[in-house]
Amino acid sequence: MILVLAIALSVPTLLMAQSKAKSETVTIKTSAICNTCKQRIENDLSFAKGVKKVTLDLKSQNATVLYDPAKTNPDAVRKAITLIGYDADTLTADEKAYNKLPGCCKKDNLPH
Amino acid sequence: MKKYHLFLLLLLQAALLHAQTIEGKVSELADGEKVPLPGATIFWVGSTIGTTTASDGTFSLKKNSKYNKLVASFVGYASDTIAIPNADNPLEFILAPNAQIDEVQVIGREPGTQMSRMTAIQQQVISGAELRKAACCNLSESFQTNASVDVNYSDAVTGAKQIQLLGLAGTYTQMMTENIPNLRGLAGVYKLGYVPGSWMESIQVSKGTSQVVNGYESTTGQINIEYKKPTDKDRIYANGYVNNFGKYELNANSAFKVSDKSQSIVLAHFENLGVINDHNHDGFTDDPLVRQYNLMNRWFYHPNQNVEMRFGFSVLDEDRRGGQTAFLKDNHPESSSAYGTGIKTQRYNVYSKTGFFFKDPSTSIGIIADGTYHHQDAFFGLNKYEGTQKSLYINSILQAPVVKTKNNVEQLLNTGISLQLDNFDEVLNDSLFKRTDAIPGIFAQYTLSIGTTFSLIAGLRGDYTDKEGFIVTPRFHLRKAFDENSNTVIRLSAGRGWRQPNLVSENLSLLASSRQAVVSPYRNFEDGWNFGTSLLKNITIAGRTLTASIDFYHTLFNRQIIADIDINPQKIYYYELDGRSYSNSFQAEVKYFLLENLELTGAYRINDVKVTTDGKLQQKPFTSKYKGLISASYATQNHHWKFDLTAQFNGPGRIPSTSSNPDHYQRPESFEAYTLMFAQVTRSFKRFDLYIGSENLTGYTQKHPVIASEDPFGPYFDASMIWGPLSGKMFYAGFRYKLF
Repeated sequence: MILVLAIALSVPTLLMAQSKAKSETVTIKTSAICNTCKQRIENDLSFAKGVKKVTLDLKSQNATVLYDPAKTNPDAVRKAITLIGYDADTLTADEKAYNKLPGCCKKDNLPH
Repeated sequence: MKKYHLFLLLLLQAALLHAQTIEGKVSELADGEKVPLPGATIFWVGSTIGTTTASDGTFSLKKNSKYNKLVASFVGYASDTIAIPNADNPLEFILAPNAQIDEVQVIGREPGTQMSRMTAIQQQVISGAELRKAACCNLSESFQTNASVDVNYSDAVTGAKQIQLLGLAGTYTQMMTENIPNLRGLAGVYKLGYVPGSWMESIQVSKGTSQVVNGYESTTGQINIEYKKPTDKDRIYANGYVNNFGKYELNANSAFKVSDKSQSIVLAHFENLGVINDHNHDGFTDDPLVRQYNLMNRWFYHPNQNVEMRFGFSVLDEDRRGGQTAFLKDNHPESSSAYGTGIKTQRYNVYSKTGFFFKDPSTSIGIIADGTYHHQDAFFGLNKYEGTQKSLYINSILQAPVVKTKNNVEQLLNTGISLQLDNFDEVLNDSLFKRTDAIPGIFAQYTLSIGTTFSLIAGLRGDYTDKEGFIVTPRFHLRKAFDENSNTVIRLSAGRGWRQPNLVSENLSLLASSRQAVVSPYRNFEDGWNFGTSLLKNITIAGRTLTASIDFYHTLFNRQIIADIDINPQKIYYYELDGRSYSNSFQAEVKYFLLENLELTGAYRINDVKVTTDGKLQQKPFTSKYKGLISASYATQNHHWKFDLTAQFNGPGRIPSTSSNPDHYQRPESFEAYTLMFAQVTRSFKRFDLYIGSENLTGYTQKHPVIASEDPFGPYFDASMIWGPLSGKMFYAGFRYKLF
């Protein structure tokens, strides 16, 4: 039982040590408009290469992205956002991805 | 010059327009941030003139000299009213989520369990995030990480588990699904297995008597289950699960929009355990073989701003078989000489909730209707049981403000009438048990709130029963916060609860023994009082909030129907309580985020539950004297990995005497403290999660749970003396797929 506890407690510690590698932050203006958009961007973008953490503020529509500069760059992150279906700064959303968005995330469509 | 005129005209027009138009925005607060609510309705109080908000939550509406109050309303949110003459332009509405005919506030957000600070009744909310920490399987696993609710096996053959709140049987806790009393009567014993884990959105656990609006039951508390909603964002959700005992489960649900006014969700569940496990080699399977089909369809219909409807139906079919492995392997079970148990269940349920809203948004009428058919066909060795329950429940609630909202003072009155129709038809061997009830009820409940710091609920209801005449149920709740942010909150509650027992179906597990029932005459209703108090405190330590709470509840029975297994190990005596019966429950709980993503919970509860059996006041059997819980929950920065670990410490307890049995059929008269551990690791991907975990990681089990297991038809056989876990170390793995 003690062994199990020791393993369980050491795993997070190891993972935390790993995440302390060098990282930078970029803030990108998106076209997110509702809570579903927020969840979608935060979830999907966190799986893009080199992205470590995503926080989206709906009021300002800004996504704050923590990333590893050795693996990605702000332009690649913007591109990734467009592929989820949203505008990213000056880039417009990928049309195919935008069409797949749920109703409430579409700007011209009233939800519910 | 002409140009100037035009310009002036335009300017003037703009100014006039500005004066005649009201602009504003409707938002909700999500995690402390304002989030625009598109599609919300804005209209003048007393009129049908209005508009809806755009995708960014904004609206503009012409001023109207006839009306001076604007209401913003949105499905699933409490409406808000602003008086126009002295309001700012642009206007700002912030709506709080609140299904309007729901009495209990629903919070379904991360993190795991939250102790509610705002409700008058002490309540814990187990969120979806918390439910996912124990990925297996149904409602009985949902309380693994919860210190308030105990879940124990009821016997060694059927696999049924029962809950306890305040150390008292789950039958004293009112079970609700979306604030409709449900899973009553015959469903009582196996009800936890009827609610698939992945169907639930959140659970609210309230201690003490609840509001009179929901009936005269709930002596010790209330457990309300919120299912996934038709308005959910998950378009497709699928879940698969398998464990090393050979059990597998499949769950799927899909929410879809049918029209602008109606939405629907379909939920499906299948589970199967077809493998016989006998790890303790007593010849009995540890877990019964189970096959369950469960289907539910829910609708939300919102024809206009004054009416909203929720309705749906569910169908359940379950087959459970347990007992000796020889019986389960026999191709002709009906002629088998081995001991077996079997329970076949069919359950059908339809429900509807309709809300009518008036021009003044704090006035509404809610009508709830629920119909259930439940059929059980069972055998336990040579005991045969068949039971049918038909129930219809109607409740109508009128909510009206007593005095219009003034400053921060709000007074509300809920009144209504209800009708509960029950028809029970039970056959145990050659005995018939029939009962038909038509119980009309009337209730009134007064709520006073002053700002966010004080609220009081006083309620009274009367129900007319042909057996007891009028039964009267008074209840009272009070909440006081000592600061605006509710960092220190105290609560008091007092109330009465009633309940009609179903002796046979509630004690079905006693049929898994050779005990013979001796029934003395008893009056139909059990009558109990509950008094409670709690203190909640938030303290900021190193920039993070530590939540600490303590509570104490005392339950006292005036009248109780006792199933006494203390007098003689070969008998059960059913009779009306003659003496005292009470429960004292004291609980302390602390929650803290030690690191940004590491949440720790510690809890400790003392149970002092005593009941007069065999002529003396003694500790209730099979109930631990204390329970402790420690749980740690860690997520990586991007939430791609989650780790959960929970340890439960269960104190010692009493076992009814078996000293008159032959030596080798005797058991100790108490059990020792034991520890259970649960662990789970979840890995999230873009559209799906994978998880592996373990229940009962240390493999602790009750030794020799079945008395006289080699002679199941003999006089000493007893598979109902259960206090601990029966299945050993269990490992499971599964996936969740979600498309939203």
